[in-house]
Amino acid sequence: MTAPNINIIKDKLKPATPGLTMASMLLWGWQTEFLIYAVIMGILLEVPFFIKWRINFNDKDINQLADLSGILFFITIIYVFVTHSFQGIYKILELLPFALFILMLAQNYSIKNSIKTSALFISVRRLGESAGEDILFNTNISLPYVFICLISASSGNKYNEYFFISSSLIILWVLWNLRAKHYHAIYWLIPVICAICISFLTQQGIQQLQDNVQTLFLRYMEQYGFTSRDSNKTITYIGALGRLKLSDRILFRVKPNQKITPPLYFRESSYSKYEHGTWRNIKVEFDSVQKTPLKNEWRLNNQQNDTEYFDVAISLLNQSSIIPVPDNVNTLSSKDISKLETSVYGSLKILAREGLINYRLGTSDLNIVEAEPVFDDLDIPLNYKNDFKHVAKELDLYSKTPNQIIDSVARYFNDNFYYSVSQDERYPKGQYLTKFLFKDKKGHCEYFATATALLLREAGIATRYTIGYSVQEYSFWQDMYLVRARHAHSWVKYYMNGKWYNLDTTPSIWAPMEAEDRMILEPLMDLISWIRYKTTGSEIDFQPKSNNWLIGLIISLLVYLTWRFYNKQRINIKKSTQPYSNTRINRFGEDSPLYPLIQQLEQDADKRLPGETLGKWIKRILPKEKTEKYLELINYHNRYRFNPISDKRKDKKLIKESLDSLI
Amino acid sequence: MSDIEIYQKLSANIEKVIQGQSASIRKLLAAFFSDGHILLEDVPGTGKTTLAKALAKSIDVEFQRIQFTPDLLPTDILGVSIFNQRDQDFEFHKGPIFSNILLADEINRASPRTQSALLEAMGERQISIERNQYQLDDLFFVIATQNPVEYHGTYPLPEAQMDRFAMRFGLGFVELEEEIAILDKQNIHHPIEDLMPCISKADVTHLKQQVSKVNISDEVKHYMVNIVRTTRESEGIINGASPRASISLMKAAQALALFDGLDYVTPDHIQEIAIPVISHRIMMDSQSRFSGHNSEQIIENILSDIPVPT
Amino acid sequence: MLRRFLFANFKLVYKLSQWMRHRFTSAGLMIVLIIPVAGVFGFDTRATLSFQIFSITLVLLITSISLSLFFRGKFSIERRLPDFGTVGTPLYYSCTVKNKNKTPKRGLILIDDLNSPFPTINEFAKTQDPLDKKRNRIDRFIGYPRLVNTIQKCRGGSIAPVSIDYIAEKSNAEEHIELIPLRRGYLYFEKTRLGQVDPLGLFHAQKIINNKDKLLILPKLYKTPALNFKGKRTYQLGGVNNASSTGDSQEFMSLRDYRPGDPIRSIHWKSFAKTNHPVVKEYDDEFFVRYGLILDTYLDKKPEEIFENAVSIAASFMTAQKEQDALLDLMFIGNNTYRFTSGRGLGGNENILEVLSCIEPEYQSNILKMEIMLKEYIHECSGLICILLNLDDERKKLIETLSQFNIPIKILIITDAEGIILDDLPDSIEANIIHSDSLQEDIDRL
Repeated sequence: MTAPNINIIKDKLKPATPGLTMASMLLWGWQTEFLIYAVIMGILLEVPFFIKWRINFNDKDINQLADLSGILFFITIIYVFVTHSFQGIYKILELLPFALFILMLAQNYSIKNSIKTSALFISVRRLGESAGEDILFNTNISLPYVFICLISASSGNKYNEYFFISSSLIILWVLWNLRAKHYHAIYWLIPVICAICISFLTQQGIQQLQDNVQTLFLRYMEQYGFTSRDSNKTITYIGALGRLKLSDRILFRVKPNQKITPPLYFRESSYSKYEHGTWRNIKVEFDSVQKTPLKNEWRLNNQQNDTEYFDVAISLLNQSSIIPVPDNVNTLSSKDISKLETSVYGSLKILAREGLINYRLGTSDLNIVEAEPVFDDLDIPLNYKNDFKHVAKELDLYSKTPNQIIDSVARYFNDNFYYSVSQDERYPKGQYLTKFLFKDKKGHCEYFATATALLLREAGIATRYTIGYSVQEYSFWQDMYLVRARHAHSWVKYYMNGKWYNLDTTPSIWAPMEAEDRMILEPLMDLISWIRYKTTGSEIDFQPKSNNWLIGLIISLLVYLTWRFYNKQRINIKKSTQPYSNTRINRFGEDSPLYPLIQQLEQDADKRLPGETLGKWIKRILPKEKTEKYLELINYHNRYRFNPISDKRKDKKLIKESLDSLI
Repeated sequence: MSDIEIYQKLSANIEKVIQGQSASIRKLLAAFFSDGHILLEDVPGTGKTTLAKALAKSIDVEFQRIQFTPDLLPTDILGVSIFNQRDQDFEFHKGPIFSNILLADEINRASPRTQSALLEAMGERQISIERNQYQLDDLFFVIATQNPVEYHGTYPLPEAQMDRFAMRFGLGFVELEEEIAILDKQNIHHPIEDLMPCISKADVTHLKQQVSKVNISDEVKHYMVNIVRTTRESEGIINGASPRASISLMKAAQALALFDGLDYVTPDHIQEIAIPVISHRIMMDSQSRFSGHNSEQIIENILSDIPVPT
Repeated sequence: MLRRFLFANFKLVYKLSQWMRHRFTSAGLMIVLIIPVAGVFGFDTRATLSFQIFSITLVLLITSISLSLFFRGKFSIERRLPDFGTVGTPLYYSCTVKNKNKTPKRGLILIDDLNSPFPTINEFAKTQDPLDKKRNRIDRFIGYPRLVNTIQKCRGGSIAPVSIDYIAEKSNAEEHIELIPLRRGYLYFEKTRLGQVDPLGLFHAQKIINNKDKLLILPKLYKTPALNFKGKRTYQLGGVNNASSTGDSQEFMSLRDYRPGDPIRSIHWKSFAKTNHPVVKEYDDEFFVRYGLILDTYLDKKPEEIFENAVSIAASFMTAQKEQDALLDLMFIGNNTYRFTSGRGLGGNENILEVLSCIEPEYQSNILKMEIMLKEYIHECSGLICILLNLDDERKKLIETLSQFNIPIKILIITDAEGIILDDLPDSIEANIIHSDSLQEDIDRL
């Protein structure tokens, strides 16, 4: 039986309005380095709004395209993970819009303008035709694609403020089209504005929350004792937002046998290559040290005798740990330790039992032999090269002797920088040292050490970044020095005349510079820094060549697909067929003055259904008290329209009069 | 009396006897004045017989009632030639069909042969028995009834013959207040016994002529025919309505327009009367029938789908 | 044990998924899915800015849900259901919504609800799902898709939501609703949900209005061929009951002398004229042809589909009979032995169809009882159609017994398997296999 007129709610995802896909793709391209691709892809996806040319894809084609996308993406994932290891997850996020691009193209250029769920999910494909309507249906993936572009854009992680505004605007654009039309726009606008304001506060809160949690976490970890460093890399807090606060927990105790002048530096490891907030080494080898027979002692320099010694009490978390040692360390004696190894970078690694152990470190006049500088010890990351060049030129380091260089650099940092543990402003990746050098001129010890190391390298001196602890807090009652977590420190080792020397440029006290000087110079420094930043170009440290590879593949794929589907039937979207027109019938009375009133009522209340007479319609949309006048009016109108022999002028007049009396 | 007065008087008179059925009375009179017959399909006890009697009494014309039983013969309806021994000749005794208003009660309980005897007479307006033709009166109106619920021992009217009825509708149960009023009125005796005629046969003839003079614009005619034609193309229908349906629809709409005091037909009249006029003429296929669809629904759908002239 | 644990969670999962499907628009569902995705990727606020998207979408959704709390109003709803429907064929009914408030209402959504009870773990263990073959192993083991399917079948149909654009104050609106029944038997309507989308278009506010109704769904019907049995058209005396309801036939067989008490109308006037004394017409008795339609109800371990097909075929024969000239007796064994007759003058297929719609299969053998019943009945009928659910030894023995009577017998075996051998049946029996996958074609071939 022919179905009656059912107002089934067609609650499927609507297609995106023209421009929306383009806007989200532009945001994505802007935040990642794929802007050009974004523009091209966006244009390709928006063109179908203006052209009626379509391709008749059938389900099998779409399935194949989906499978193809899946395979390509899978290959990309593997490649990215291989080159980037775990950090690659964010790279893959950035690439997501590429993954679904083929399917989006197919959808926008197909007649149905939608994709079946069987193309996206294999389990639905297996069920085939017998799947219910709630599982197998056509859906338009444009809106999910917009959101995927947004999430991908967020992975680019630049432009904090702009990103919030632009993604809010895009999300609102999406919602504007989804809103319930029967409400006045104001009911949408006000809640939406409130929501955006609240979400702004929320996201601030989330950021704050993470920082707090991270700090708590650190504290929690440190409660349980000394954790060994990784000799191959150390992750700095350069670029970390918020206040860097390490805990007061005592990690180990040092009792010298003689009076010392604090601070005393106990080093752990040194590193050569800086990138991306991390100092690392190519794999460091450890060599075993022979135990002195019949004693619990290891000698690093057989010829030497100790001049001083320190008794250390430390609570180890790992059995195999790199221990902090003073310069000129010579011997190590302990009954808690079973094995000692050293590295060419001057690290000492012990194998001991977990928990509290004691050992005695003896020092002498001689340094242990440390490896000569390697290539990386002069390496400056690409993104900072210009910055350090600039400073080096400024300080005129190229024309100085090494000693002079050291002096200049030390003074430079001492005079112009001050110590701060908080970092308030988010910066794009790979920019923080720039910010440190030119904008803020404040930071914690890692900034100083890193910047010093790189600056010296720029001046031609090989350096290494060293981390360890500063022994400076004497406890009168315990008669020993307490080393806490917050005494962790980093400084620089430089190589001069065949030997390695220490240099610590971190101000030893909080020392705010004279405010006035800062104020005058700071804006100028900011401007210079801004110009330099803008003209530098791409800021990404690691430029894999994978992009070209991927893009080349996609282009050739598109060419192939276009050729292949060109042969398929091209179908123009048919114009909707004209409704049955009564052109041959003598229709009289179409100029009735009642029609404008009807139009008005339709807008205010509800549209008249095709099979509804005027009388029925009025009775439906108006309450009983109001219908009488309207029905009388309709009677006059009917006479005008349907009585072949009445006086038409009189009828029309009656309608007009009745209308007037109504209003 | 003016036309509308005739109608109103008649209607009011009938309403004295039957409460709460003004819509049905309106339809009944529309059929009556447009020369059509009606089929009342309703459960027992809703007042079908009372309605027919009331109509007859209001006009002071002849009324006959035939109770259809399974063993009813055609001769019981039409009449029989009886051999008169004295005159040695056959005499035709006219059957109950020779009256003005005929109530054929429970028409679906008689055999098909008996049914067709009545139906043919309704169509031809004359009887042929043994090579003689007997004309029925000008004013000949049949109200046939059937009980939709009882199926045991019934012979449903053949679908092809349903066309002879101008309309089919049911009376239905009345509202609470009206049913109470019925109890009050019929407490002592049935009001039908007191009913007096209010119009004459001549009035009826006059009104019938006036009905045929009601104007119909081309547009409205087109709309009517459109509805009927659509029934032929609808899904689930084996046979749609015939052109006879269009004619009945037009005449009934004209009558309704006249009752409203108008001299032209509006689409509202057509929509009001379409279902009673058309729904019994269309034949649905069994799949549709057993899917719970009925012909009234189909006509309703057609009415809501086809754009109505406004 | 694992299954018990899983099942306990199913209810929660099912209720949650139903709630989400009812209350969220598809845009809302999309946002609901985006939120955890953005949350996962935004977990490290230093690595991506995804946490901003997370907060925007989360706050928008919460706003949406809060706005929906402002939906107020008094409504009442009435349904106008048809008499019955058929499995698989869309049926349409209408709902009248009365707006009892002083303001007009716009943009309402009407969702009519069929009762869908959640099965107990024992009921669930017994259910089968034909679609399970196509699912992957994990889905099959866990069983959740099978559970959803079972609930759907029990519910009996799905009703799509319908939108009502405008109802004036203190007025009504009538909406047509489509329902596609999934099973035979009674469908129970419980309540109707009346909702309205929030201004953001993500979430439905909803009012639940109790509205109980029930609707009978007949089994799916197929076109059946005319029953042509070779063999005699036995003179079956209808019996007093039948004669009085179908009436004497109109054929008069003979004339006899008038006896006092004969009705005047049966006088044959022509003969009276000729012979000058009254002569009365005598009428013939009705000839009835009577066929038996036996429905086997012993399903045992066969799939449910087989029983459904058998019921459908039985119903198809019964409804087709209306147009034919014979009586058809439907017989089957349930708690008792049942017999229903349809045919000319006996109308009322609706009763039989109602019975067939509600019939349940048996899981213990009743073939012997069937044999006993048939042995008695077979003397009354001119032909027999047996619809069997299987061809095992018991049934073969039954067929053998029946073949000894000299009555034409047609056997229809409903099956979904291949390779049933018909050779060892007696020759006088006409046996046909009706395969579940090709029902209509196999019936046409009869």
